[in-house]
Amino acid sequence: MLRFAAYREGQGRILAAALTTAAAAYVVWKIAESPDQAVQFAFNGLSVGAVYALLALGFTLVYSTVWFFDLYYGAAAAMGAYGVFYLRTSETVGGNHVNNPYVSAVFALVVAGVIAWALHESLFRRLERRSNPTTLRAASGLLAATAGIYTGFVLTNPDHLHMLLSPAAGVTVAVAVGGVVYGVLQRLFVGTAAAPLLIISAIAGCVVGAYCGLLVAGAPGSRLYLSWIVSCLVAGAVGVALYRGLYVYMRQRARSPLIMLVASLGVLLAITAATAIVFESAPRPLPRAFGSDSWALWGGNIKGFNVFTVGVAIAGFAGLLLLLKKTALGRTIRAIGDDEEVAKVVGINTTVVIAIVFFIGAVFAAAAGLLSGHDTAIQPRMGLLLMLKGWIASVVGGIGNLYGAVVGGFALGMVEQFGIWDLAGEWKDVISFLILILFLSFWPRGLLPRG
Amino acid sequence: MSIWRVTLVFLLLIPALVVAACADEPTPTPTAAPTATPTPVPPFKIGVMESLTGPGETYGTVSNQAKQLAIDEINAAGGIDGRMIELVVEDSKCSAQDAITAYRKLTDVDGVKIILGTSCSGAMLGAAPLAEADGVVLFSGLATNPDIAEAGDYIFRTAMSDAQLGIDTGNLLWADGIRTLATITEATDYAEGVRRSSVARFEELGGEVVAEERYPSDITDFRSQLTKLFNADPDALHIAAQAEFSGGTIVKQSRELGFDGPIYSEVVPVGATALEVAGEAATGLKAVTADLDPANRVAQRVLQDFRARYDYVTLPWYLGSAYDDVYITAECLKRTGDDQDADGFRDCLYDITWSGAIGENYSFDDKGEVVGLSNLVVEVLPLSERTEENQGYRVLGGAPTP
Amino acid sequence: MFTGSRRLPGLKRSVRDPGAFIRLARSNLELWANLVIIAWAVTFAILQGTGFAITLGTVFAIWAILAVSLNLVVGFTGLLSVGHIGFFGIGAYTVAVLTSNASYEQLRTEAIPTFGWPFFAALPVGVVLAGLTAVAVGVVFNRFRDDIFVLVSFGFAIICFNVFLNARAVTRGAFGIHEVAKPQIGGWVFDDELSFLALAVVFLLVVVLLSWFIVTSSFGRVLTAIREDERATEVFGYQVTHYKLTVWVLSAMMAAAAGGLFASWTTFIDPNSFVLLESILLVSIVILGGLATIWGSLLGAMTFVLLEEGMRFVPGLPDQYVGQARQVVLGVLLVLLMLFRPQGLLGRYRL
Repeated sequence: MLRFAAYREGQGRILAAALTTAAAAYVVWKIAESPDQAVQFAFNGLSVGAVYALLALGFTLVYSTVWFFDLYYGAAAAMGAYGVFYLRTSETVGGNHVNNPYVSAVFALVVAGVIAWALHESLFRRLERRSNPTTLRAASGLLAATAGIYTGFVLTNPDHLHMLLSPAAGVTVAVAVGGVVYGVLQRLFVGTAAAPLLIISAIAGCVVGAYCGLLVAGAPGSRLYLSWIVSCLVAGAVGVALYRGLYVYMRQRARSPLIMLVASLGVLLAITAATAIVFESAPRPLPRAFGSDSWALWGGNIKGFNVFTVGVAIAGFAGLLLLLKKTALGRTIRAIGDDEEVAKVVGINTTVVIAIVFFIGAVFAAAAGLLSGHDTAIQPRMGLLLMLKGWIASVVGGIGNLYGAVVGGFALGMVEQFGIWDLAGEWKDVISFLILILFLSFWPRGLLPRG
Repeated sequence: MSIWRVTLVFLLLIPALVVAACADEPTPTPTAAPTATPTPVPPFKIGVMESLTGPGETYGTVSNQAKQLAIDEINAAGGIDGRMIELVVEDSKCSAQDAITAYRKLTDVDGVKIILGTSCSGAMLGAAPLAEADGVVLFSGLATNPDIAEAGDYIFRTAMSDAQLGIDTGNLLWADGIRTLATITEATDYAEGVRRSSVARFEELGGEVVAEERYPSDITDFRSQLTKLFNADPDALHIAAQAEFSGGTIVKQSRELGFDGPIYSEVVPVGATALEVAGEAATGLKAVTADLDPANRVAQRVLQDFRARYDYVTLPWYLGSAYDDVYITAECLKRTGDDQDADGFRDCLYDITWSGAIGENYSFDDKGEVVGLSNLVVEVLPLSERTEENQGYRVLGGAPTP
Repeated sequence: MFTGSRRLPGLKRSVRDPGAFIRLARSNLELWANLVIIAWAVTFAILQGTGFAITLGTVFAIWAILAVSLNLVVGFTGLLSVGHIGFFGIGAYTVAVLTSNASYEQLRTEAIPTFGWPFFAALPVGVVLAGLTAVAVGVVFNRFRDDIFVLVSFGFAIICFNVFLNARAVTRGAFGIHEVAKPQIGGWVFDDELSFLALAVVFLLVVVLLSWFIVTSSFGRVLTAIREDERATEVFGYQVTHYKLTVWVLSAMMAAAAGGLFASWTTFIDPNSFVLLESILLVSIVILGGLATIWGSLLGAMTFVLLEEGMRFVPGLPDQYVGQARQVVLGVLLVLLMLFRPQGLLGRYRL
């Protein structure tokens, strides 16, 4: 049995090498035939490839941690895009000014729930011994409720997004700047008492934070970009809520990953249809973001926004790589992916760590969804289509490998473009799925197998 | 799993079938109740099938709203000899399949014999054979596919056939000095029909199609197809789209890809949504389309009322066409006096000559095709000059003849 | 055996103790599901009149054939196939292409020949064609399982849809195929709704009996063994792959029969009837009804068909959102099932 697998793997390598060579030769021949079209195809491939890469990154992170396919991932991509649409509906074409208090309330509740749980896990656990549990419960409940109400306010008043979010932005920047300043000062003045350093960094943080808050509050143009952040965070919160509210219970009992797959399929179906009910099923454009004009370059045309998307994909990749390889959190994530039971025994709070992974995954999906939405357009079914592409990209690149995800994403983008050079364009999807079946049959571990 | 259960279900089904078979065929509907009671006369019941969702959403919605406007006017003026008209609306979703379902619902459950609709040619062609077989009148203000002419005796429309539209487009292309053409077509029956008739005329005149691409309705990224088309270096691009959104997006993405040649199309890409999506990129786009005559007073009044009621106006010609359909229906109901008399209604349509919002003195030929209307050529204005009144384009006049 | 044979314990006690009542209700979930759904069907038929009920009956029969056939694959091999709609489409398109004899069609489809076969000659061709496709696809897909299989079956559905849409020389693409022939035996044409319903029910009966035969035969017992423990069955010397492939092909052929029936019923088909979403809905039906149970699949299909009509009574829900609302309900049902009853309403086995 094993020998057969090894044989197939070997055979697969030879075949894959032959295919790759053939594909490369074909591309070279085509480039020679029409360099302009090749450049344009490469640009197109880069812009869609970046979206696929982002999707594959999040996907592979989640999959290689929990080892089941979470189809909510697709819904997260759609939610990221529709979140922007929802918050900026007054600037969009055919937006119908959808702003439904019930929808906002649902998401506010989800956010409140997630925050309550996060507070419970982070503070409650630590303070349990020292404080009165009733007080703690009341305090975290109050905080969560406040956060929920704040979210509700933000979601129902998208026209004042910059005003409403300026305190949040200010606080975030203040904490970040304060932390960085404190770290630097600590390095510079080794041996000094902590108190003065703390005060200095707190002042620095507050000043910069307040300035940034004012900057945001005074710039209505920032609403679009704030809506990006809000919809990514909300999509992430829904991901956490799903994990904590559903998958945890299923994973305790399930014999097969298919249970979670079917449950998340239910989630995807419900969210897709609900999106179609709230926003109607026809495609819609998102409002104009920066970089919507195209530049002529080497005989092709590319939009500034596409370059930005590629940048986001690469930054996302670098960030994820740093997180996984350099931080303690990353090490625990990898430990859970290797063996969850052992990780639990060692004392890792796996539920929290996996929840963070789901959050990051959903944020990546939402980012991919909204970037592709700005580049082309959004529609309720986009989630399913994008998810499948992200799935294919991560299989092609090698599931569980971040480098593989990026390579797979861009490779899939390129193959889709160059594949239709001699075929009619409508066969694009067929090409990507044939690639998938080919890879799974002969090279199931992908281009860059997990280490 | 056991065979007992399976047997049981079939045993249950047999009486159900028997009951169904014994039940009298025409489904009893509330309106079929005897009128001897002192209750007010039941209204005329007319079916409506429009694509309220799906790719033809804009058309279906506008058309439905225009019909409601007309119906309310008629009913407010006392109905037809004191009888009101009631519309039973079903969503045909721009697909033949859904049109068949909607058609069955209307005829079986609501018992209507006269149906206004559908918005899309595909839906129309799906329901037409059934309507023809059942003797139900299908009367559309929107469906334009040439084949609808042959669909049967009970099938009528006030929309002009794409056969004429295609000839006009072919002539326009040739007259503008276009000799090589690239086409991009949405893979739907309507768009394919438009492309076929336009290209046929263009090639007849001596033009050449150097590249052609199609796209499925659910994609939003047309760049790879467009890249291939522009690489063939055509004189012009021809867009045949079903959904306004894709039409507008193709125009936008063409310009993003650096194509600076002229773009031609029909009807859809000059709709309000399409122009808004395309923005500045649509400037100079030429289209062959039907448009309302600014001198037509009915048309102007309808547009005014529509705006007052719904706070927007789009696709004015189709709006007018749907509006006229209701008035023609009312006139024929007046003549026949029975909403179950499809044959009388059909004969009335063959007979009628109408003047309304979309034109003066138009009538129906022996195929149920409207005669006496014509298309116009329009050119999209720069973004700064587009207003709600001019719909974003200026009319260049009738289509040229070589 | 029919669930009613189970004793109904302690109805009296349940009045005093709500917990006992819940336990009672839970222990008889199958019975409740049967009763509720059948009562719903009868009520609906009375409310909406026979005409529309006959139409819905045909829709139910077609979905039921699909669900029963897919349940063979999902319930007995554990492979969650989302590509079943592809076989359905192959059956539908074969019957449509071979039997269509459209007169006004010539205008739009220059190069496509019309065959004008009778329905019952075209149907076997469609079934065999789907079977052959299933063999080819099965040989490739055999090595995948669990979630990877789900992914490639998504792929199969999408590839099939694209072929239907883009292979215009055969399928007429987006134009669709009109005037598909109605079935005819001798001089008897099934052209009214009622006789077509009868034919569809006969088809369903054949498929159900065939599945029942497959499941209860020695072949079926081996399949059950494979699902329980594939390795062990292999050790006993059974060619697991062959068994799985056989049931896959049989199931595909049944789906193709349903497709042929569907094409003939609507008399018009276009690619939009064979989209991925329909396939996902089909999988939900099967899971809803329960794995490895024929009755469950019938019930699932019935629920699915009635759900849409039930949605029409939801106050404040515009008609055009009925389909979407049904999808939301189905999605939520799936989640709840996976949480509380992973074997489905009537199923014996979990995923």
